[in-house]
Amino acid sequence: MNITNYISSGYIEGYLFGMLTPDEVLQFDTLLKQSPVLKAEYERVQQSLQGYVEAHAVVPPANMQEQIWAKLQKQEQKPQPLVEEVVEKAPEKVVEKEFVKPVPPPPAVKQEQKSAPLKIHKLEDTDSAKPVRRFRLAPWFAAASFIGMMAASYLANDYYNNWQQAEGKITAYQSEKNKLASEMEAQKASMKTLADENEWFRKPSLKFIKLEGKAISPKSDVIICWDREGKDVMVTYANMPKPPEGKQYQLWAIQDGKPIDLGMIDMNATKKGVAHMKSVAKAQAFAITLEKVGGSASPTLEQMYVFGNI
Amino acid sequence: MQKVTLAEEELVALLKQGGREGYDYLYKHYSATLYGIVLRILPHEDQARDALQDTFIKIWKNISQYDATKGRLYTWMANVARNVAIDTLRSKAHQNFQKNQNIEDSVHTLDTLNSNQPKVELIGVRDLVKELKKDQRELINLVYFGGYTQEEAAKEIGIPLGTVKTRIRAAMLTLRNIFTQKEQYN
Repeated sequence: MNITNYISSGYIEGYLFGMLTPDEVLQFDTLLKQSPVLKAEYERVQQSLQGYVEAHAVVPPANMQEQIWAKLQKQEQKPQPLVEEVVEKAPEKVVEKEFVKPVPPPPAVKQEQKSAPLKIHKLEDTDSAKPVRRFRLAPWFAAASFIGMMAASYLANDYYNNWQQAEGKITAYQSEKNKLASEMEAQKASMKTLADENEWFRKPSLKFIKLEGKAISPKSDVIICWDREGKDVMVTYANMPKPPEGKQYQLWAIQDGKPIDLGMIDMNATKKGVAHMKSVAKAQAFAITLEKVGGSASPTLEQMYVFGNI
Repeated sequence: MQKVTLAEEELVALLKQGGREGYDYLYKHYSATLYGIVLRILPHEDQARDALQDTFIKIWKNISQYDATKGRLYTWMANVARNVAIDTLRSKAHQNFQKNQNIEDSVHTLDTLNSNQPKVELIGVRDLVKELKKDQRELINLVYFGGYTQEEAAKEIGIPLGTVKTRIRAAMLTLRNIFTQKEQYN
């Protein structure tokens, strides 16, 4: 069993998310004991998941700490009680207080039970013929409280909507802010690159060498920048035909008549800026030849595109 | 969750004593995380509160069964919460509960479920998960907070079954990068 393959097939995540078959779980448990690599990676994945889960954390309502503790105490007094049993056997009042039933009885049933005795009560009231005055106030009071309720619920709703909108705006601003911040970071990084390059190009030890096109490509020309102190070599300008499929340009320094490989030229880099090459301490000339991708040990002289003496 | 000052094994030992001290520590350091999990799965607060309570009861009762060689305490507790909530979600009681909510309530629930606007507490999450690709986030939420099986997740997202695990792997690697970056900034 190749542990790296096993890990990259996502078995750790499958295990964590409960997505493995029982056989796979057994296999995982066994491997976990045998392989320190798997163990370390498992640890890291657990940490990532922890971070993700923590990001979703929400503080529970304030009274819950005491409520749950009371519940735990109760459980301990009765050894091994099932939750359902507690609900059934405990006195009603306690149940309602301590155990909020997940399923409220259907509202329809509730209303029937309540409205039935109410009707009877009303009938008795009218029958006993109490003073009429008392009844005049009642509708007004009912109407007033109804209006009050409507107003309150309208205000609550309005307030809720405003709150939701404000919240949405905050989120939008926040994401806008983050976007700007990351753009800013990117800008800073590219400024830094430019500043570094700029500083480099102002060094007095720099020498620019123009390489002229040879017979195979007379119109080509390339400019090499060589820092004789730091020995860095860059291709700052490259006017050469696009290399054919499977081929690449290779830069050579000629040192005491011998060619030294300075690496393959990244033509994309020369389009956008400069291509950094290998360093060389001493050279009398530079040349570029067309070679197979990855380069050759020695230059193919018939395929020399440009050449320039220092 | 705040920084854990007690090592996990110390907390396990403390919990096994069954005293108030252990409970308070557990509640203080883990209740928000556990509540976040159940609330994510059961958006209705009444149910989430019950699930949180059941989660604590299960942790309390089963702490002796926790096996440190198979994973961290944190992972184990998160799984307890997740299972309690998913069981509730799939139970008959939940189906009835859904039916019995009055209209106003269900509008609100739908809102919480579908809304792109997060709860106040979740704004931090938005920042973080924004960095995850949408399909990666969707996948993690389905399999972790939704309790989807591989088959269900594959069907839901419309990717081949064989790639579910590797996709999740990729998502988790992205997550890891996000958190490592965060640590560097802080």
